[in-house]
Amino acid sequence: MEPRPERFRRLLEPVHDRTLAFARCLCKSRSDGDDLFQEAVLRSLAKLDGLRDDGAFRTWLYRIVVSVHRNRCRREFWRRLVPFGDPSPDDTVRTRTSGELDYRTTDWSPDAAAAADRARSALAALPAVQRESIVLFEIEGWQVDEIAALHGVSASAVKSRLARGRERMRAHYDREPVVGPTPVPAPGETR
Amino acid sequence: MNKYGKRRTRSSAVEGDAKVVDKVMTGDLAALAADCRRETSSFEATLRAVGVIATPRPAAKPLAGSAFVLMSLGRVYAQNMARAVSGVTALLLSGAFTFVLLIYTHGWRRHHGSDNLWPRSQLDLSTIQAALGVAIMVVVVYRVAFALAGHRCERIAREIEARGKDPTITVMASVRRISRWAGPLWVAGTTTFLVVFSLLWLTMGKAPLDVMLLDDQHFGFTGTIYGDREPVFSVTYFPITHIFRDQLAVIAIAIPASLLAASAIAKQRRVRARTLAVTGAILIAAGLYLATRDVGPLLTTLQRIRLPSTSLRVAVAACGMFGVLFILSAVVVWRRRRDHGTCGIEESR
Repeated sequence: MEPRPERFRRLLEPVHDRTLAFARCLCKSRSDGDDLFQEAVLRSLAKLDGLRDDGAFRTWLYRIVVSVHRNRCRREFWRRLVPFGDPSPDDTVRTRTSGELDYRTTDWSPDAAAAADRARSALAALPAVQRESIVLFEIEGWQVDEIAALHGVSASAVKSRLARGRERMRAHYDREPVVGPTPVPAPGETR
Repeated sequence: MNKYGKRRTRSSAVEGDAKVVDKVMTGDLAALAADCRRETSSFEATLRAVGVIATPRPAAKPLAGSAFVLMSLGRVYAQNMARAVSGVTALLLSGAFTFVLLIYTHGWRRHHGSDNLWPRSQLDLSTIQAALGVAIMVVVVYRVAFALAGHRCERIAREIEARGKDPTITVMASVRRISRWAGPLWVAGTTTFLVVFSLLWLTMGKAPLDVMLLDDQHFGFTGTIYGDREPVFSVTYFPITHIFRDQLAVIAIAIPASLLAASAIAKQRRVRARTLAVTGAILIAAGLYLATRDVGPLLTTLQRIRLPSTSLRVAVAACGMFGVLFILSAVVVWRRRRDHGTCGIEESR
C-alpha cells in the first residue's frame, strides 16, 4: 500500500495552486487565504485515510477549505472582540511602500490592484455561503451542479445563492462607486 | 432573460445601470482571480509546512521580515500561541489576585479586630457599578494578557529571522504542539479567573445570585442574612481558613472541569455532546439537590436564600456554573457534529 505522505503528495500537487488561489479568493486578504489554505491542507492530511476514492480528491479538498472557511467565519465574532494580527491600514501602506512585504510585482498595475481590492471588499460583504458560491461559479468556473454537490444542497438553492450574492455585490458597488479604470479580464480567466 | 434563466423585470434604465455595474464587477472579479493566482507558494514549501517533507531544504526565497516569518508559520498558529500564553497569564493573574486579596483581608482582620471587613460604605460589590467594574477589569486583564502574548510571538519571530537559518520545521513542530493546547488553556485561564473572582464575591457575602434575586435583602460579611425586617440566619464567626479551603476546593474542580469542556470544544478529545449534556445536567441537578436539601422546596430556597453555610453556597454555585458550562460545551460539540460530522464535510467519503 502506498505510504500516506507519498499519496498525499501525489494527490495534492495537481490541485495545489488552484486550491490556494480559491482560498485566497474567499478571504479578505492574501495572508488570511494562505492561513486558510495551510489549515485546510493540515486537516486534509490528517483525514486522508478517510478518502476512499482518489479521483474525488479535488472536491474533497475544496469541501475542507469551505469547512475551514466557515469555521473561521464563525470565529469572526471573537476576532472582533479580540483583534489580533489584522494589519492596520497604515501598516499595509507602510509595507507596500517600503517593499518589505510587497506582493505587487512590476507586472501588476495599480489599477489591477485597486480592482482586486474592490472585488475583495464586495465579496467580504457577502455571507459565507454566497461568497463561496460566487467564487466557485465566477472565478473557479464550476458548474451549478458541482457547487450543489459540494455544498450538499439543491441546484436551485445554488442558483438562488448566486443571484442573491450578485445582487448584494451590485448594491455594494452602488454604495461605493468606481473611480478608476477597470481592467479588462484576460480571456479564459473567468467565465 | 438573464444568465440564470429568469426574466428581467426591471425598467430599462435600471437595467442599463445594472449592466454597467455587472461589467465592472466582472472585471474586478477577473482582477481578483489574477491577483490570487500570482506568487503562489511553492508546492514543496506547503509540504514542508505541514510536515510531509522531513528534511529541510533551502528556502526558495530569503525571509523578508518578521511578518513574513509569522505568515509562513501561519498566523493561525501564532494566534493560538498567543491565546495559550494569555490563558496561562490569566491563570497566574487570578492566583496572584486571590493571594493578595486574602493577605489584605487577613491584615484587616488582625489590625481592626472586626469581622466586618467590607463595610458597605467602603466597598459595596453588590451594585451594578461594581459589577460593571469587574467586567471591565476582566476584559482589561484579558486584553493585556493577549497583547503581551502577541508581542511575545512577534519577538520570537524576530529572533527566528535573526538566526538566518531555515527554522520552519522545528518551529512549526513546537508551535503546533503549543497550539494543540491553546484552546483549552485559553478557556481554562479565563474561566478560572472568573470563577476565582465570583468565589471571592460570594465569600465576601455579596453573591451574584443574591443581587439578582433579592432586592431588599442583603448579606453582611459576618454571614448574617436579613429577612424583611429581622435576621433569618447569622454566622458569628467566619474563619479565613474556611474561605481559603473552599476556594481551593472549587478551584481544584474548576481547572480540570474547564479543561475537559474546553478540550471538547477544541476537539482534542472525542467527547460526545450527549456525555457533556448529561454531565451538565447531573451537575445542575446536584446543585439543585444541595440547595433544597436542608431548606425545603426550590422556590422557598430561591426566595429566601436560606443556605445554612458558605460551603453549601459555594458548592451550589460551582455545580450551577459548571453545569451551565458543560451544557454550553455540549451545544458547541453538537453543532460541530451537525455541521461537519454526519452532514459529511470530511468524513462523508
